[in-house]
Amino acid sequence: MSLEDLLAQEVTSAAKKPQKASDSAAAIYVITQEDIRRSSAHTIPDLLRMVPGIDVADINNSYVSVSARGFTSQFAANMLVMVDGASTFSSSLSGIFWDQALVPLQDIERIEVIRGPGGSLWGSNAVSGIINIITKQSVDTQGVRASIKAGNRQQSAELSFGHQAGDNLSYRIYGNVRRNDGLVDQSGNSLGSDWLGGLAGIRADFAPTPNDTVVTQAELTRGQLHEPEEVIRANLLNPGYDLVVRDNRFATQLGLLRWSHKASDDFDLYFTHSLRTDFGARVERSMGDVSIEAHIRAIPTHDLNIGVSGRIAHDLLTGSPVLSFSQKSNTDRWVTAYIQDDISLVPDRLRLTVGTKVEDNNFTGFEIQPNARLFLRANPRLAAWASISRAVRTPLLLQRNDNYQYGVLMPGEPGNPAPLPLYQVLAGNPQSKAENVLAYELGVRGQISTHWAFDFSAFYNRYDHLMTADLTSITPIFIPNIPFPVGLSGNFTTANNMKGHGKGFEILLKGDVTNWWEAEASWSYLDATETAYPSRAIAVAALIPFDATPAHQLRLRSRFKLSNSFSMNADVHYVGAVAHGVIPAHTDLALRAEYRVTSGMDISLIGNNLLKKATAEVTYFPQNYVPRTVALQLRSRF
Amino acid sequence: MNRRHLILAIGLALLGAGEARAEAGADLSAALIYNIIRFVEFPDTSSTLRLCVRQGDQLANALRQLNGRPAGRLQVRVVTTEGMEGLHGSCDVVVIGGTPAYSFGRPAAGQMLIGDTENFVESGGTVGLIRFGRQTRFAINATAVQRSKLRVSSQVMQLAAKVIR
Repeated sequence: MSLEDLLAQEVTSAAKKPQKASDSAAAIYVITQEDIRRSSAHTIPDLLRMVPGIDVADINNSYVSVSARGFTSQFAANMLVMVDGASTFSSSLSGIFWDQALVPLQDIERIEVIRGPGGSLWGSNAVSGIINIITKQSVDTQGVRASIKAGNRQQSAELSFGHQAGDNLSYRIYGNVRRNDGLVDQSGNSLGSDWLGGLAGIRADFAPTPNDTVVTQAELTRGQLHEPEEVIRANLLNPGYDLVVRDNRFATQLGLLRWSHKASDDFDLYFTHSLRTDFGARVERSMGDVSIEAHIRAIPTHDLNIGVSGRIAHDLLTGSPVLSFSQKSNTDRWVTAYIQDDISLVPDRLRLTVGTKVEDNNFTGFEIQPNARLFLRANPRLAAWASISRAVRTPLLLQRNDNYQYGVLMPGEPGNPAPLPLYQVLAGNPQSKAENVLAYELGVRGQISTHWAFDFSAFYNRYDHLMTADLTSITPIFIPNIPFPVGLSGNFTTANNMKGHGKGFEILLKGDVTNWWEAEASWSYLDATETAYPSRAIAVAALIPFDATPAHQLRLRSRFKLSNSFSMNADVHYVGAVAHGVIPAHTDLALRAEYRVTSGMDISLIGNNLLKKATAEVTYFPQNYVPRTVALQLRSRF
Repeated sequence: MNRRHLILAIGLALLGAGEARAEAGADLSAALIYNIIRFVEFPDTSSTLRLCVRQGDQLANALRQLNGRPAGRLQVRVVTTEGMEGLHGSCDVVVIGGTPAYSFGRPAAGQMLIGDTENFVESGGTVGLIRFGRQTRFAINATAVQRSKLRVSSQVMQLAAKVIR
């Protein structure tokens, strides 16, 4: 076991208790501290690009989609994202605002990523996977640590100070600030966007007894950004779009209290207050969450894990011409409970895990998410697992309570056979149901030789009640003093009128090519389609179509240790075409050259997206492209 | 079983549990020490890495299990001594458990001094094990590393809870 493994290897996301990644009955990948240090990533979503099977797509200046096994969209809300086990899930406009995930990279101990459902332990919206960002305990970050990056389009600084105030008390004060010039057009020219944000926080760890730890944390996040957006022209006699640069901002306050007894009994309490402006609208949210979890081992062969939780979220909503809300305030409530039993069928060889989560909320009602997982340790070098699980995705507030001026199709454009402009208006539906998935998974992982290991997982997912935009009516639009219609209003309503299935695999091979070259290669494949149920609607469209996700992704990550002071990392990443080829396949190259000046200081040259001036990753209006970037980084610890 | 026997049995069980916990803690400390020295380059040109510990040290039993294991290009040889004096000789790694670093004195060139007393690295030790709750971490004295002409990998330096210079 490596030093980092010894200090922090125990993975918590797969089983809600300490467990080695190699013993998890799930498709798990752990981004380690060393991975983070060697990475050329500037943000957490960029870090996630290294994970097999994860699709990361920059949509615009503020929205990033991070998905697994389908559902690439800022509105997908299929991946449950947590920081230290506390959900950052926002059920209002988007599942998560990734540009607000400003945890300093130097403070991250590891990121656990699970592909596949995790609803039976973690609840709704862990349909496609779980991302658990685990930060370092303050005792591990004593002294001053700083990181400064200066690049052609982005700059950032991270600073933290940690101190151990006694045998059982330590704390860390931390913060960062980031800015960037946003995404670009096809030629690599700026789109007029920029982004500036930062975070400041304090965390204290207290260990009153050898079996108890108490963590308290307070954090503030602020940001402002300029976002180019195509807005439907208000003058209906001159139909089309105006390009508007929105002046958006966000702010979050977080307070957290966690008491852990032994390794796995927890009491968590946290509160967040957040403000976000988007599409000209404003959402102010207050959310409180409390949970308690315990392990019971009354019988040696059974490890029982139980927990209950409650959450309340209150939103104050202010609309805009583009995005308006039928209710100006909304309160959602969730009560959940889970039970899971790890049954040792053959000690240290064969384990069966069965359990379920039950949830009751005020908008989709009662939800149940059971799973059964079998894990076989054939020998110390080979393990296999299989699972069957059900998970649900509950609709966002946006999909229950909004009126969204989606777009306008000019006469003759695909989708509009009429001689008038067709204005698409999407109305939320308070009766929206939860989507659900029944997932079958299996995996094999093991050591091929002393220096090489592999990890394979395959899945078949069957989806029901996928969210759709149903065209329910087309009505003429009249304006005063004009005797004929100037356009048509295509009235869409959010519904659950599709089913679908997805199948695919992820395979990873990692090891040492030579004593100075570490390599990791992976290939992920997805084949997913959706079909409409019989419906009275004029047309039914998938709200989150599967074709936004690439079928194939290939990655080759290399680290070259050239001397004690000098190392290089090279990451090549192929991403297949999406949106029926509208976004072509592309290959990215990221490089990092690092020179260790002293034992406490290093300097690096970082390049991202080096093969092209600008790369589109997903369709958007206006179309945004990810630029080529170069940066110099200085890191120091003293 | 009468009440007195029951109390005695519970007492012995608790005592045993305490010993078991201490053993588990020693095993973790030994594993940490092994994983640290694996990433250290010692100027010693021989093929053996001599790891010295006093016979009565609380980590001695756990460290003996490292005997014969590889550490980079070297092979670990655990040497146990009667007292502190025997630790000075030709040891590459000296583990002095609960003894303050100043009792040993400044480690020689090519030598790493490891202990787990409070402020171990501040008082001249090279690597100090830190207890926090039920966890064990480590601190590094970068000046002592440099003075002893050792080379510690950047990964170990990054994973240290504390680095003093």
